[in-house]
Amino acid sequence: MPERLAAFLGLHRDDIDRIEVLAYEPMSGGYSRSMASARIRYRSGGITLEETIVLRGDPPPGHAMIETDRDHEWMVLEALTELGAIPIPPARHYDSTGEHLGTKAIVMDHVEGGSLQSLLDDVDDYGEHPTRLAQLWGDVHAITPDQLPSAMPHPMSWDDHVDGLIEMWRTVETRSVNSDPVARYIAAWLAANKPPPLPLRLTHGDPQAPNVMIDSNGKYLLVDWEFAAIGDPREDLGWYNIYSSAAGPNLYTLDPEPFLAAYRRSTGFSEAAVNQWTVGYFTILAGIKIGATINEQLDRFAMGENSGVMTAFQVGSLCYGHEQNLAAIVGLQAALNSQGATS
Amino acid sequence: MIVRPTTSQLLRDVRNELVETIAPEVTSATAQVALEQIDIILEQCAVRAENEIMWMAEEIAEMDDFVGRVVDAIDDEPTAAALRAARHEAGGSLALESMCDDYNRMSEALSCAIEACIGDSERSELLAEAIGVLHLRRSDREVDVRANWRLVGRG
Repeated sequence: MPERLAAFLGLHRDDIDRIEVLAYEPMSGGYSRSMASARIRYRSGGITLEETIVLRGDPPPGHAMIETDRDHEWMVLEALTELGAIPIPPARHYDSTGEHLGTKAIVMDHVEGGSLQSLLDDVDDYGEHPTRLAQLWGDVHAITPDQLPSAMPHPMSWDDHVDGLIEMWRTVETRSVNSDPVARYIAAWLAANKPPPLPLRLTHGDPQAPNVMIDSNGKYLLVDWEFAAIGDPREDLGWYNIYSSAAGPNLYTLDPEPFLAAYRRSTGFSEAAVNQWTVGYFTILAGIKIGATINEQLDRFAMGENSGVMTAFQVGSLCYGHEQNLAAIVGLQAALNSQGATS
Repeated sequence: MIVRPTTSQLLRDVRNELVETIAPEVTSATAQVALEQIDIILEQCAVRAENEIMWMAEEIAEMDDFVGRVVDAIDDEPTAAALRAARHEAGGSLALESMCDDYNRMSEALSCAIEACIGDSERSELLAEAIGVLHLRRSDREVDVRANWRLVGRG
């Protein structure tokens, strides 16, 4: 791989020469893609320089825990780079066919500072991070559909989009090798209790502290855009909530109201639309977006079409989702009942 | 057949060997994460080996009883049809594959019963009972199956 990488970089950077890959190391920390870091040395303008880059590519066929589209991710990264409204690490090059790097792969700058997750794991006082994180999600949700590439799926309306997600809960279950009354109950409950709409916006799709890098100046940089889509912004709040409940700390549940207030200030959304109940609703609804692909890969595993420890490991994720979603519905329904009793 | 040590005991012994002997020799971060995940999967397999046939048999009987009462109480053809199919096609064997098929068919009948009850205030007691089945059996047992699961290797 080092030789292939050096040759690939040589094709894309005519401003440098004598490219050497000094070290190449697989990275842990990502569940969906194969990641590696590479230390490179090159000559530029007569000076020898070194830097670290990150490669993000598809795992070998039949070993993916989640199937996503690298072309889509690159398209989103290009659009976000052009917009400049959301801080992301510069994405440099893309091997769109895999002919150079052996798999479709994106080459991006390495962020020296580590992830927000690593930082939070090492401190007891989270300081301004809850508010900053709420603002970061708000920055993402300021991007309107008309600012995004036309090649991205643009839902016809909020109802179409949300109904489609609810339907996903049903179709994933119907197609699965497992019959799952929990999923069918969730779908029926979601359909019966839709919240007020919000304008559709860019959604990251997998917002979580491991996907927020912090550079040496303390600035947040948002990575892993493979699930980016146009949707209801609260889907991201919901996914952050369920992910961070499984792998804390959860900076939302720590103190929900200041978090939501910071988010509403950043987006201008109303309290009627963004509150603990609606975040709870979208915590359930949004789970199907990644849940669907996990389900699909586990089904393929059961049918002998897929394998891998990472995929087998996801049985636990589905069990966790069941428990969390059932508990959430109990709480949300109780709130509705109490509202009905007092109105 | 040699039934003891049980499958669970064997699996837990493999876990122990991996943790005590193999893991300390592993230096690669990605391999360490994979080993930690393997350890969790092995414990999940041990829990399932101990219980899954018994749990499925219990839940099939419980779902059959509940859905039967739903069919008696309300006129819902999808639920009645799913229950008929589950009963008619039941293999009745304790072999795992056959039991999984029986379990899936009866689960479909439960799903239909839930869908028939939700949103109808006159059926709220039946719905509450169905949700109880989901919580007390499926979800609580999945907590046991999950074992020592956690999102390892993220960060």
